[in-house]
Amino acid sequence: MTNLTVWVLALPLLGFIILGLAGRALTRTGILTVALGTSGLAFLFAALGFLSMLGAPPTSPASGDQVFYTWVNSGIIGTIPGVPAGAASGGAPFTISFGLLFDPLSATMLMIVTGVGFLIHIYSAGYMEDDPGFWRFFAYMNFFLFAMALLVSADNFLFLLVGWALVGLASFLLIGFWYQRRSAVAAAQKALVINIIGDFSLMIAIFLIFKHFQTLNYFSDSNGNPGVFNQLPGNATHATLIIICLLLFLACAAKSAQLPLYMWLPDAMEGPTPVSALIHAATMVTAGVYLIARANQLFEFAPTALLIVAIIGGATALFAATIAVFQLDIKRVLAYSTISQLGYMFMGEGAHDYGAGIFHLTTHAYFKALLFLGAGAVIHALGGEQDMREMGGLRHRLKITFWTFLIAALAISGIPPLSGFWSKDEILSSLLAQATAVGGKTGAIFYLLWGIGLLTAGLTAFYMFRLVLGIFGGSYRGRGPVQHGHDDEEGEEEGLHGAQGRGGIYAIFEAPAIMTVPLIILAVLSAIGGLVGSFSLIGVTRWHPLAKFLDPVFSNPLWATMPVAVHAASLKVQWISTGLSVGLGLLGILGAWAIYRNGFQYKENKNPLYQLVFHKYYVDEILIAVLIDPLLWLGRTASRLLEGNVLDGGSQGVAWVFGRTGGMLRRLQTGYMRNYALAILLGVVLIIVYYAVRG
Amino acid sequence: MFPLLSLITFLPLIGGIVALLLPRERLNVIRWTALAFAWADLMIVLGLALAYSQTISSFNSTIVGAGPTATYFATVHEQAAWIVTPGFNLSYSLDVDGISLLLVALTSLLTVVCIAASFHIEQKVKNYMAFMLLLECGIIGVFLSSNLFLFYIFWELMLIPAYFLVGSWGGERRIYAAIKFVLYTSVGSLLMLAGIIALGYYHQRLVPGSGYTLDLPTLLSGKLDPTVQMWLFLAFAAAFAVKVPLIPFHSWLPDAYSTAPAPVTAMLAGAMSKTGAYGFLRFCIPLFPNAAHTLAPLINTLAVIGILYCAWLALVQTDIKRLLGYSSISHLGIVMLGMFAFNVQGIEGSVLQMVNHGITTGALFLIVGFIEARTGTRRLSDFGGLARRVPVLATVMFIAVLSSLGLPGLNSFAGEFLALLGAFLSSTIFGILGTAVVVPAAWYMIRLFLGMMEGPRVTEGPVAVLERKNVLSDMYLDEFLTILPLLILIFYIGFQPYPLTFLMEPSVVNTLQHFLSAIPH
Repeated sequence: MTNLTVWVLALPLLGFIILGLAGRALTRTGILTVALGTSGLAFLFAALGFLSMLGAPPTSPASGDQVFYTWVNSGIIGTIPGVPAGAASGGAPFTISFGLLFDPLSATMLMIVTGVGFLIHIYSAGYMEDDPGFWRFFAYMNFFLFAMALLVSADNFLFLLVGWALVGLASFLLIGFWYQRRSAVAAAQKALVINIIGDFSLMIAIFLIFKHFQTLNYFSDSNGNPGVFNQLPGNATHATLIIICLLLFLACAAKSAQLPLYMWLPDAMEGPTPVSALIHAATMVTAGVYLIARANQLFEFAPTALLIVAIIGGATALFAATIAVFQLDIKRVLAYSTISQLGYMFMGEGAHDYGAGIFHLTTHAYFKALLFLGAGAVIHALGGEQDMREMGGLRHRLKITFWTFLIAALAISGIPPLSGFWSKDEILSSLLAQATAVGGKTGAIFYLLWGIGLLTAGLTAFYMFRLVLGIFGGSYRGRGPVQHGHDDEEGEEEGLHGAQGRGGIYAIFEAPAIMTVPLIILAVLSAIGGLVGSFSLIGVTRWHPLAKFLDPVFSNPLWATMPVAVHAASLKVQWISTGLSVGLGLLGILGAWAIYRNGFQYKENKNPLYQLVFHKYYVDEILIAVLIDPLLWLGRTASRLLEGNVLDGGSQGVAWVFGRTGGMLRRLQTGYMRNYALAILLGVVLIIVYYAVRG
Repeated sequence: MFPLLSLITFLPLIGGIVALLLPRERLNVIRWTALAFAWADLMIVLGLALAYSQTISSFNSTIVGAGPTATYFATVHEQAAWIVTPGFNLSYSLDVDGISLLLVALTSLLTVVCIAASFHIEQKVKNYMAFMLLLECGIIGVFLSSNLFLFYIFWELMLIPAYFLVGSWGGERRIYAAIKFVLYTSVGSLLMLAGIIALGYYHQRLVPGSGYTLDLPTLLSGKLDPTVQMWLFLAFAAAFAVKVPLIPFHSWLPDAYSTAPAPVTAMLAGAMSKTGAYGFLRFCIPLFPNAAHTLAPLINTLAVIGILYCAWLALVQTDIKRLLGYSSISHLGIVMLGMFAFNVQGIEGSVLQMVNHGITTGALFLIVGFIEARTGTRRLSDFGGLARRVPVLATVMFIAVLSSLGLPGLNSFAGEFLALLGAFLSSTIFGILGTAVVVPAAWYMIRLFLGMMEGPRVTEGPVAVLERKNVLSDMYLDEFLTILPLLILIFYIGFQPYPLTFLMEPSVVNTLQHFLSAIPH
């Protein structure tokens, strides 16, 4: 096993630095050389490391851990009398180091991040070709790769937090990439603030972890200093562990757009489409899924928290799927679909099947990236149009896009043997197995979640084929691509989408090869990528390469004090689950076909229930009216009254009193000797009287 | 021994006098002379820091598991008899340890940066530069004094240049702001003066036959009655709380910060505000440990209220400098919260946060000054979409904004993380409330940045007029070079804060051990 992780981090960082400092001066070729070179090499190193790990699996977490430098050193744990640093004895200094952990989980994540990332870099070379902010775009994309690689390969919670915040920054920069658009800037701000709520939660979780485990390292290092996961449950009570897990999950909910912190992701579609594909679908939003898989030991010791993860995941999966059914903007459909699929992953993890969560993360990265890139190709061909009402019939003009998009849609709908089928199936059967195995109230909850999973699978197939038929089916409803010249300067002005000559459907052309080749590669992966997952369905027992690869992280005692027990479903249970999910998927497709086979027709619908879902349950509006506006109003009022009238006025009042007192005292200074003499006499008398009385 | 500390303290004063002696019309000579003195001072401080780090590297290696052995100032010490009569001994004594060294380094660095950023000031250049250097002398003196009488002199010395810098070179309402500032500060200082005199008196009574002294090491050896401690703590705290400032003694700050010229604000916010927090750490806590222990909940409550309340106010400010002023109070609340957590992480985080706050706030005020110099306005609503015209300036501002909102990986995060961790370890609720500020902090800083630099261009107001005339210039090279040291530190300390905690660790541990041995367990 060779640990090459540092190169996977360093190369994109180098690319970012070069592009950030000199990008403006570089030619397009130069920019592409730097951006594609660094991200391609990063993928190469990730792949080499991955392959070397296939050959020689790590024997312990410490064997893949590389520590580079001491970040901070603060005090000694447990030796200063009275310092409540914790109960650990001994005099180990409290040290946080920068270290990279290379184990099956991080190796898998690095493969996905750099692999999909590299493909999307290639695609972007075509997609962003005309954008004046070309260099800026690739600088940010490289920065994102660095941050994401840091997130998944940090060996302690502090640098996890650093990566966590830096991917948030990259996301912020890319959502607001077209920074002259008011809507993009607002979306970026919203994404940042909501993500910071998650960072806050993660910080408190880290504080609690330090308080109870006196370290922030995941695993024991080679010097034998114990890591968090190796000393569970430590001196933490069960309630504390649940709190830690829930705080971690709140951070995941912010990053992975789960209830109640999902609101930023649909707005994040303001960014360029490759960004939506890479960051807001395939990689960054899965950070929460990664974190729970990474912290599986904490969750195993706090099953209540894990149950809540499953419930929130299920609720989000269904909630977002219902919204996706009624969206008109093709990217927003995909955004809500992403939220829904992330909910699926959390459901799988909630059923203790972390491997299934990571598996679905992997296949989802393929087909959702493909869907977004396909949508991008459509948007690109239409000159920026994203409204489904202006599309239709594009299957004739965008052949590659259509076929690859169709494969992805079938994959996400769970149609065998495409990738989504295997991973979704594994989550559903794990839920059902968990339900049958535990029984009681918890069992009932898992039955319910399984039902939600099935229902969501049906809804997913429905809205995906509504989308496919809306874009590619029927006949063309639009007026041809929007022709808009770019401003001479960087960025686009709002409202520049003038209708300056639209040439109808014959003005629409397929994207260049640099964009379609990544589509084809991703289509192949979406089709066959699921084969690494599961063959248990037909009784070929345990041919699960991915699960087997990840297994040490969940069951090796060096990684896991309490090996994760996944309730394996019996063949019968699996077939029931599979049959139902495929059946519902087909039903969804048929439903969409029945309604939209002649193309998408938009009708104004005044039904209040429809309006409620169409307006995304009015969540944004309610939040602004109930929380944001009063907060700002109170702040302005406090600023005026407390700061102005009370404090400023108060100090002016005091000054006025002193001024008046001084004025009055001035009158005592008469300048007449007799007055002073009288005062002295009075004083002396008073002193004498005082001492006389006191005795 | 060579009086190194005196040199560091008084070199700026000499520089100020030299500047005053130069011919009035030779503006550039005056400017460069002032800069040269500030720069020389910085170099000497850095040399001292290097030497200091070598002396303590052996100390740090033995610290693991060591009991309370080392003396309070494990450090460079200078002392000379000053006012001596039988039974009355006021010595001139300067000391430096890890904590004060970092703050002195910060002060001298900020002075260099701020003087360099003041080259565009055209009126009364001589006086301006002399006052800037005098301000540096006062601040450094405060950090180095180990005799309370000397300390008080430097403390008051800071006030004079600060008053004139705000009152003479400020913008509108500068006289009002300057007088308010002086009145607030003087009331606190006078209470502290009474406290200092009384402290010497009580200490003299403690040890029969000893003379009256105000030397800090001597004073530290005695244990005062807890009730006396309480009154003295409050008297000292009055001065320090105004300077930090703690809520509700902050009313002078938004006025003074917003009207003063940007480099002066950067000095006040970056360096001078640290004297208050330093006073708490160096005098209040060690001299009155029982009182500090008893009053910690009060201080922490005020700190938490300040952190959240001022972040909230920053969210709705319309004036950019006032916004930064409130943000500054909010961040200094974290300094206080970490300090009064009374554990190593908290205090180290607190000192680290002082340094980082100086760097970041200094940079932000200077950048806003650059922008104000171009546009003549600092109303947030006058701006919009400026990044297109001034991309480099926007990038530099973005880095400072990210640092200020505590982005992990940049400098402020390190201090905030440790300080809040310390606060959390000593009190869960204060820790959580203090940490909660990251959300509004990100919100107001990003609102500031996006409002100024991004979004559609403004169509009316002074900035729009300038844009139409196409006269808004991007950052000049000299501006960039001025701010560059701060940018480098923002990245470097974020990358590895270890050298700073290494420097301060022995001093922090000693302070803490002294404190913990005094309070009941």
